[in-house]
Amino acid sequence: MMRGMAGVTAMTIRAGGVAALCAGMAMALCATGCGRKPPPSGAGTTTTTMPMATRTTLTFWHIMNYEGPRELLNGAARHFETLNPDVKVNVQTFENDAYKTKLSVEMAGGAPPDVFFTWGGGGLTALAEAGRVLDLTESVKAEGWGERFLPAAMEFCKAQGRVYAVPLDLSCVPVWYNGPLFEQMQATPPKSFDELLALCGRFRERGVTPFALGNQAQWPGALFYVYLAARWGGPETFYAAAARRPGRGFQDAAFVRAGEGVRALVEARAFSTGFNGIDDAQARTRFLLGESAMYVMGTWLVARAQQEKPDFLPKLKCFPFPTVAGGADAGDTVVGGVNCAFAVSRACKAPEKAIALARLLTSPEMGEMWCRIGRIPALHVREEALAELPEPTRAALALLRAAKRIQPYYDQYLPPRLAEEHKKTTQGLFAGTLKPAEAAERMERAAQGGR
Amino acid sequence: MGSAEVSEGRSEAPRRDARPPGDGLRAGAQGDGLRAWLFVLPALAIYALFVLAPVADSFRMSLFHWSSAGATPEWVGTANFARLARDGVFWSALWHNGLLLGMSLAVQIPAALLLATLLSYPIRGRALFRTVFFAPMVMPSVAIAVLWSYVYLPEQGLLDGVIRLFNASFGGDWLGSPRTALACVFVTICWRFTGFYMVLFMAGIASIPEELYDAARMDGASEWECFRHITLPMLRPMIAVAATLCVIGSLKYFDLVYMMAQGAPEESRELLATYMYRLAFESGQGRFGYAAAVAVALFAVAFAVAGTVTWWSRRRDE
Repeated sequence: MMRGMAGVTAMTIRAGGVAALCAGMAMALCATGCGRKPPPSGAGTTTTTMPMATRTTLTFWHIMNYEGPRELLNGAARHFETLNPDVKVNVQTFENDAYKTKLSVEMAGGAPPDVFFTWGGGGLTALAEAGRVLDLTESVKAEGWGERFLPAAMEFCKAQGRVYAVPLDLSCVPVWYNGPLFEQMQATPPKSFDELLALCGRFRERGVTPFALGNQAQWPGALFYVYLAARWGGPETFYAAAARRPGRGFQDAAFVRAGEGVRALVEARAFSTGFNGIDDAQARTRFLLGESAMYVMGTWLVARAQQEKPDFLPKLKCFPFPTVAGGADAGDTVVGGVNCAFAVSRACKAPEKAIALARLLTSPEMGEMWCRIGRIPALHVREEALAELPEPTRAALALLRAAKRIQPYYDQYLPPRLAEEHKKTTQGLFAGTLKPAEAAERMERAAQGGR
Repeated sequence: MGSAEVSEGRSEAPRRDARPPGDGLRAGAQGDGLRAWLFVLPALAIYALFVLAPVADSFRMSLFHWSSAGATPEWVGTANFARLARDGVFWSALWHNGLLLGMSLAVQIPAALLLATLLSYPIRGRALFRTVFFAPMVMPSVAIAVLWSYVYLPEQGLLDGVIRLFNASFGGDWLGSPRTALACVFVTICWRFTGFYMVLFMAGIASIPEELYDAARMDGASEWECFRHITLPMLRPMIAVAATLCVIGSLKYFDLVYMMAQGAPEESRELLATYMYRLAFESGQGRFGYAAAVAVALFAVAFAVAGTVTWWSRRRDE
């Protein structure tokens, strides 16, 4: 049945979807008035005032090269071309990790794209500080563009209070679990970390791996660490450390305790054997096959599950990450972040057009289409549109809405080098080569600019 | 016979130089030099553009601090090298390169020699064995990395599957544990390259005149004595080539280690080349200056070692 549903979703997008989207886009553009042509005199760049023969080409880079988002983003680009006949949008897609490399190299002096995908946070801040991206603060004030976005999502796209990108996708990380496995054990979602550890013991006795984890790329394990640190110190502790506030830092007790929590989980044999040597896809397979009971992963899991094992979807439940006794956070914080935002390069020859494209990519219609492919938009959308999300995604969205604060992923929020140190030290904690205090100390040293 | 060849070669060398002067084409030493340069120029230009210039550029870059992709490089002199000297990961990477080199020489070449010798006998299925042993060499390294990551997969992999026949609850953290990750990759590397050296040695063995063996056997030499006193000495130049390739290959080695050992903690997984790559390109680190310093160190080590090997094998030849 779920397979059928997935099929319908795909079909809607392929056949009717794009047409409907295009119609929607047209309306959005008229409503917001950003399809301005002819361009206002004076502000127009040389390229836009040139005759039709010399078309402006905008390069648009993104990494959503899989069914659903790909069709929507490409459809939006094509629609932009019909609205702006003098512009050609050249869409290029990249693989996740390769993209980070490619973007940093091209931004350093190669051929940067005009409009490009970003996760916001530290990577975007670094580009903003180096003067490589356009300041969109004034642009989003125009015609209510800025009001479309959820404030929490917009925070990820700012640096020093200025807006450098516009978000489209929001994701959060709950603890996913296998409903029937929990029922067999008569287990209920644990509220506290101690209950969680006890539950891990019970699953182990039954021969079930408590958590699926494939930590080869280091970020999946870091999710545990980020959650534990947020539960102990709250996001404020992290922000204070990241902002280098006097007297605050990554040596704070919250970070050491988070490390101890990771060690406690490892010692309780909470994770799949050899988790540091397997990748996330292998761990996901184990979870979807029912070999592991729980899985800490972002909401993007739902789309993967829909694709890889649709009959698992009814079993897929989630609960908020447990709280710690004596922690500063009583479970009001959820780890999450922007998973797709768009920025405009400073090197862009036709910034007006590029901004118009970014505006089209974050139109209200795009937000509703985004729900239809099972992803949480970073935009305000009608409740009816949210009802189209798959059940597990809605459950996760409820957690997100109930949360008072969003704790960003460290590796996206922190500047690249510190993010790398965070991943390395967390992996050291998981592997047992670093003690919690040592890991915290190394982070602090890296934050101070050493090494 | 080997020494005869060498002396022949040597006696030929002066003869070449002793060509009569006043050869129509020769217009004095200066013009000759120019002409030589002209002939060398196309190849030299390509070499300079794609090898010498980037090497020089790396040297230059290693003297800069380059904080992020977007930032302007800033001159820091030798600070990067001072930091390198205190960098534990760098020294561990160097040590791993040394281990890989030692292991490649100690395992791949003897194993290849053994296989080549065995396959030089007219046994049944010889062509099949030769193809099978050489096959890893023609497979793309990405495919090998994926294949072997399934061999080492905890609990469900081939290796654990075999161990679990004896100990049902066994699960090995082969590629994630700091103790085993690199060792496991090294095994895969040996598996991959042994076939290459085997083919090299087989070609060498095929060129050894059969009469030598016939004569030796007639004198009552055992198979071992034939190997020890005919095959091995005759293969010596080939072994020297193989060893040189092996040494250079292990120093610049990158792909399987990069792809397979990434789950292990940093100080137990890096080679110089992988460390350099990660510093420069991974996750937008953009530490180009520091990475260039690692590259310069790698260049210096490779240059010194390769130079020593070449010098040593030349000296042995004389």
